Amino acid sequence: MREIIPCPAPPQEVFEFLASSGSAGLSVQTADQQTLRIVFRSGMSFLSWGEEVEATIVPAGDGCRVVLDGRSLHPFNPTADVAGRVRELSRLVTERFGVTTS
Amino acid sequence: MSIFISHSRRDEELTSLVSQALNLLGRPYQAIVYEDLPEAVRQGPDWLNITNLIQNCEIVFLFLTHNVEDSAHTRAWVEHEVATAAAFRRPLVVFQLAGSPSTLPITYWTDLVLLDLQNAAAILQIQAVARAHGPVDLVDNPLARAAAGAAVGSIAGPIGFLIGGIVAALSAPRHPLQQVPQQACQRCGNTFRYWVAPGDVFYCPHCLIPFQAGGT
Repeated sequence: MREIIPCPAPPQEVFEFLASSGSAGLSVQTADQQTLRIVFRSGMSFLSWGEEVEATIVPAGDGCRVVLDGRSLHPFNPTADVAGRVRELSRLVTERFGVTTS
Repeated sequence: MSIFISHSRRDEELTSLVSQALNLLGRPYQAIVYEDLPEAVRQGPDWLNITNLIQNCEIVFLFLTHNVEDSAHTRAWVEHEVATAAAFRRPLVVFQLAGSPSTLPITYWTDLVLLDLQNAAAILQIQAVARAHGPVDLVDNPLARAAAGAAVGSIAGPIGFLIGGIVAALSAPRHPLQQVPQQACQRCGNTFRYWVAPGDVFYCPHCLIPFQAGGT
């Protein structure tokens, strides 16, 4: 699942914010400052073997775009909550930085 | 699965019936009748060859007929084969002829089958006993079923994995031998499975006391 958030903040600032934050159930697995890529992973729950969300920050004009790619850790686990994890990270970014409207 | 046939050479017709019954099952069932083996396999002392054959087989079928007890020589060999099966803990199935039980006591056995040679179903009975002691089909193996169930259930996460595995394992059919009734002889203390139609009489192979098969 993919979601793209246009963000008015500079890429580095968004990267540092995401790399230092964890949301409910998601922890930072890897954070690459050079490629501005962060991988989040969740633990297992009753119905899920875990989810992974890769956040890539791409410079765009004065701000950036935050590209969120989510997947389940098990190859076939339709009960995994990938959409929920992606929405959670999207909410974090938009609450902190707002969304570019133009 | 190799099945050692303990018998009297005078029971040619019976031995032939048994071999036919087991051969019809196909692989992996194989009847071993010592005197029918190639000469090359029967080099050296017979007692040693028979001991090795029983050690390497999965089960012994003993056809305890009057021809066995009428010959001292045959009795000696049967006693040797029974003792060898006991030493190697091989299941030993005693086939007792209906209406004409042998009076030769034996010291070790795990199953007793009442065989009526006048009944065409005798072949089916022999086959059923062999199959019950034979390998379990993979689809009926509780562990294999648990693995398959867990794999299918894993699409619903860890809880699905657990529930799928448990349900699949519990749904495995009981092992055929668990469905065979058992008899405990109070006199000699032996407990054995019996393959006897309800109401029929059979005899403890050691004490020779009669029992009546229960059930409906």
